[in-house]
Amino acid sequence: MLIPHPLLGLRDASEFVYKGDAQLMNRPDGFADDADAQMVDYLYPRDNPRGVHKELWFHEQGDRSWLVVTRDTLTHEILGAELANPARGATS
Amino acid sequence: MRNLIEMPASSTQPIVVGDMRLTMVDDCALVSVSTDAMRTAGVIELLSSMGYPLPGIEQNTGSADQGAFWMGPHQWMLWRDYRSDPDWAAEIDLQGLAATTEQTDAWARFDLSGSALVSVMERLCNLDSARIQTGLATRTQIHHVGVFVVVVDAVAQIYVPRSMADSLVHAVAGAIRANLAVA
Repeated sequence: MLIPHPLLGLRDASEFVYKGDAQLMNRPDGFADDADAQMVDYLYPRDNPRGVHKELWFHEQGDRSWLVVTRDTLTHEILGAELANPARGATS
Repeated sequence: MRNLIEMPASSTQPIVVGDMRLTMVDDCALVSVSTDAMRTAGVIELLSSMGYPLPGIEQNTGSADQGAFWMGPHQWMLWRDYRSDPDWAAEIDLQGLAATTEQTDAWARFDLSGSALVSVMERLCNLDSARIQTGLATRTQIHHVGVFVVVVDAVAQIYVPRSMADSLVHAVAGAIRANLAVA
């Protein structure tokens, strides 16, 4: 499986580590009044979509960028990848 | 204090098979430069004025005796001859724009050259072989070890964590022989 790294082009999936649903980036405010309920929702229930899924991959054996990879869970087709932090792309 | 004995990272090289040659370069000084998106432009300008032009993504600006290569977003490694100035790392003052860390003893550098360079490299790692040419600098893995591959003047500089030096030599020697078997 090849992942189209936005900076480096196609790279082998074996260089990457899978983290989980891209929603993990949206960490709730731990000081909110309903922080406990939000944290339970953030930590435990997971969507398990049949089809297109956005997920976090870390290029551990490469440039150590975090990517948001769009993948079809039915076919394993990778539909795209972008830097999880767009500011990281403003680089040379 | 007892006298310290200078020991090489690997004593199992050079490997020479036909015109393929793997040698350790033990006089290579390394300094890493790490900053963030806000300060990258300033770091590039400052280092350029100091004589170290920084390369773009997945590139290196190496010459025969010094250079720089891209490690990742906002991170570079500078290298040059160690013996001419052992205190080089301490002399690079980036005025708070970036963190500099001496990396000389962290990595062992091996230079691989020869007419079958691309064939051997494609047996060693999963880089796109079309990209293995002068100017490249990228991180990948060889036998499960994270390495930097930097190609300068058709010579592949392979930077491996120093404690894994012999493992790299073993891997490269095997790939050279495997390539010879099918050549």
